[in-house]
Amino acid sequence: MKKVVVPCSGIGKAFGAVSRETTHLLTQGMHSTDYRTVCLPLLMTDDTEARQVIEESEVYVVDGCPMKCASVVVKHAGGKPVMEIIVPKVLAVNKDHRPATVLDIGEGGRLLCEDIVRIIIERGGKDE
Amino acid sequence: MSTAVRKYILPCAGYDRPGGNTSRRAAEKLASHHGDVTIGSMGALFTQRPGEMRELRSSRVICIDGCGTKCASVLADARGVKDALIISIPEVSSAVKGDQDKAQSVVDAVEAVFVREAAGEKQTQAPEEEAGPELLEETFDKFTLRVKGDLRYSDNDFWVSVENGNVRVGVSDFLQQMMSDVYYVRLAEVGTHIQMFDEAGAMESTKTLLEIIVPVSGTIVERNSKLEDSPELINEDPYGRGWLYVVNPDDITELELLKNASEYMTHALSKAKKEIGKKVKD
Repeated sequence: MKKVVVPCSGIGKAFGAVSRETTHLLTQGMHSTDYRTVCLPLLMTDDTEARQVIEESEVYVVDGCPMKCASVVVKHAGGKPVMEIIVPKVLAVNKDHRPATVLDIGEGGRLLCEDIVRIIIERGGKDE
Repeated sequence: MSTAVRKYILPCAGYDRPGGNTSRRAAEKLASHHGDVTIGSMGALFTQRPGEMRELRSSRVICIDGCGTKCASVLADARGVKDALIISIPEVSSAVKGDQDKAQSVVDAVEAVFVREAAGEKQTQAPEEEAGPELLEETFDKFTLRVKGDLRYSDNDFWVSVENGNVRVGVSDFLQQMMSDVYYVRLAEVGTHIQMFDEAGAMESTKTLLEIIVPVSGTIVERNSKLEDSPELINEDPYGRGWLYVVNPDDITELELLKNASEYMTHALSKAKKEIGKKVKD
């Protein structure tokens, strides 16, 4: 089954930037053969092709805050995420990995992205 | 102090699309150049988060669409915005090479409209914010200060209200803006006795760790345990669902030492000015 990672749309927020950077690591880095992403706005506008991708994939959502907008959108589009990660909850476990700013998440933010990548890869499908 | 209408930029959130990245870069540049610009979130708008809807309704809306599907402007329209300025990246920057230059071309297009509208060539007033009549509001640079009229406030930006002889305590809208996104709240136990301006728990946000300073002496009889799972309520609804404690006061007359809404607005504006000044010096 294809694996799709969907980041939050929180542009202008450091946690949104972490969400996108995490998606970048999974879809463009060494795991790019396993993971792809899908355009979040297309899911909001009920795009047929985007919905099909979501319905036929294992979906991992990375939300920038506990309001979980990205998860809501994925479910609206018919997806059933196997994992819904909330960035600040991962940060609460290791508070040293704090993102700096939205324009540059800094070393802490990069480590936080790696934490999330590790959670998805190691615990994929088991939302704890 | 500015009375100008704030600007709400809604960029396309298509992370995997070139237009999405250009749109995001342009929005971030505009927000860094203009203190009165807020970057909107399509996700938050889709789910109609109260804070997001409030910003949308009280601002001039600019949609930056990354592709021909025009998701940003479609969503703004679906949320009732019929007079948004729509910038289409394929139309504005198709002839421009390079990501940075494409983003700059979008910034230039939006800023040109800002200049035109500021000159009165086309001044479209956004609808008034749907604030209750008791909510005072002032705008200063990037801050829009909202002070609830029927509360009293401490100098360190906590509010109190009297309810059946008890005192409810929370964070002012100004403080939640200063903190940015709160992701962790630690509250003191019910039954804890505190003196006026004692610390009782803490809040951690993307910007800071802040102790909760309770502005009244007494015993905590209730705490908002929802904040432990949903700390974002402090940002979403500081005067409502984001409350912190209910305290049984030792001496209710202590509240007379706190500021009324009008006095607090002056105080918060002064703090906002200092904050802007500090950033300029940095």
